[in-house]
Amino acid sequence: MPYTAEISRTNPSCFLFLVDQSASMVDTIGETRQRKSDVVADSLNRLLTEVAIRCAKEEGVRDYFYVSVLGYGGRSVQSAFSGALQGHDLIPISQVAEHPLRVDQRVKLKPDGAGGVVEVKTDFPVWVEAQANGATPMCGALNQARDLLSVWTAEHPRGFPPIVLNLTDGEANDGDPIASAQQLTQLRTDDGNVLLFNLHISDKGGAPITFPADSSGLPDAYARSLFEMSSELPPHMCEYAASNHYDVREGSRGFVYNSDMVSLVQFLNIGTRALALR
Amino acid sequence: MRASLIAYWAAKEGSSAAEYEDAWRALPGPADEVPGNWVAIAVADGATESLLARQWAAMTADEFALARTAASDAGSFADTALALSARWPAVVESYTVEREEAGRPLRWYERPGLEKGAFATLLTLQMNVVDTPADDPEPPTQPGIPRVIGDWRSAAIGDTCLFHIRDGCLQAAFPLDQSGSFNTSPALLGSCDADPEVIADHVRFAEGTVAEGDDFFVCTDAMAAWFIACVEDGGRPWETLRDLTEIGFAEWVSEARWTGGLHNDDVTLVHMDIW
Repeated sequence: MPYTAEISRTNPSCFLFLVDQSASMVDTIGETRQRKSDVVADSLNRLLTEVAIRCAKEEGVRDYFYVSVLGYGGRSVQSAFSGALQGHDLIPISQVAEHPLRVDQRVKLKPDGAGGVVEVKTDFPVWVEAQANGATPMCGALNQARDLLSVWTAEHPRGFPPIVLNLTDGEANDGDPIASAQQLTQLRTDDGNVLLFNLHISDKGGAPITFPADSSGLPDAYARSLFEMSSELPPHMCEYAASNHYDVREGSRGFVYNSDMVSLVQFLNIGTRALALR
Repeated sequence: MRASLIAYWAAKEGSSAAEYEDAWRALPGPADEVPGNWVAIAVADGATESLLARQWAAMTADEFALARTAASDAGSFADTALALSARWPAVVESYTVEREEAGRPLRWYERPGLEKGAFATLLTLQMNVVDTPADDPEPPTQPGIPRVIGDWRSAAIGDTCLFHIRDGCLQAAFPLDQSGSFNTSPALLGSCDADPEVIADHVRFAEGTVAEGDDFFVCTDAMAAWFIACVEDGGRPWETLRDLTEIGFAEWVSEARWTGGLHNDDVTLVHMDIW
């Protein structure tokens, strides 16, 4: 059965994030004052945080995953890491966890146990800052992902297939990204094809859409194109999503519109989940 | 008691022994001939994704082995669990201080896990046996039917399982009896659990009799899933497990993982053989 390979330190998998850093990302979302580039940077930093926390044990962060973050904007596609991680392509999650650019403090609301909420400070590590410059070489980014993962899949033939997560407004201007996406997702390990998921941040605003099974409710051609590029959620991820009250069905794709994808990290099996009784 | 008790364990392939996060406790303890008329076995499986899971599993197994009524009463089970939870903040505090003193203060990625608490599945088995000498002249109640010499009670949260074998047949599989029921989200006893009703809602109970010649196997989920899958395929996995030795166990686990029959996870097995 595909997509059931163990994810462990001896059999790691891989997350490759593609971050749209083009000029159009400076626009704000709908009626809000949030810039797309800020939302994308926030989403990426939260995803990296979630992966690191899921892999954390007493002795440190276990290398269940290797991670790459490629930024694309202007004419270039390059590692979006800076500081100690600058220039690195695929690095173990333990190294990512040890070297954020900084750890901010944010305030979040937490149930107080008596029906109310209290504000608590929480760590918010930052690896990638918001950027918005030049054109959108999405095809170039997908092609570079293909090159990186062709090496990875050859070196890890029995591993859980790599997951590519593309965070973008969808406005590619270096060709048809669907063709590049198809080439990327033709790569495979013994356990299945590379998975390509898309997080679409659009300035059109509108209701968030999460893991749709068809494109009929999507607002524009960019969203439909990204939907078409997106892989279907593998069965066990779909089952886990359904058991956690996501509206998923057969054919649901790894695509979200103006929403977040942090939950996706929870869909992966790396051992018994730490869930409280309900 | 005319019974022997032996426990085996193996860390997940690729992990060190220090990373083994199951725990087991047997009272009065493993023995070729168990003294007394009472036996308690508790096996816990710390959740991979929680921090300090090893400590939590060990505390849970130790406490529930001693808690006789928790194996048959939901209120007692919940009280035992809450008493454990009440001790947990001191464990975390002590760990935090230890790390600071070692020059390795907690990092940002550890705090959310520690705040969430540690988690483990648990099965506790309490058994009372009326001791009978080998030359007891009392015959079986009916020819061919094993003589009942005691009773057992068990409570479980999650997928650590008990298998009771009698007369060459699987008499009871508890709390799960289908290989398809195992997944990565079993019910778990949490170190931050605070609601006795929620705990009571999730605990499952079973009971039965003990007869001469019975075997009892308590094991964590990887072996339990293998055991049930074997039974579903018409096999008699207890015959394999009954004949294991300490060295044989390690070899068997290694081979079963390699051939794909046994999921790569920490494995714990406690076997009680009633003569």
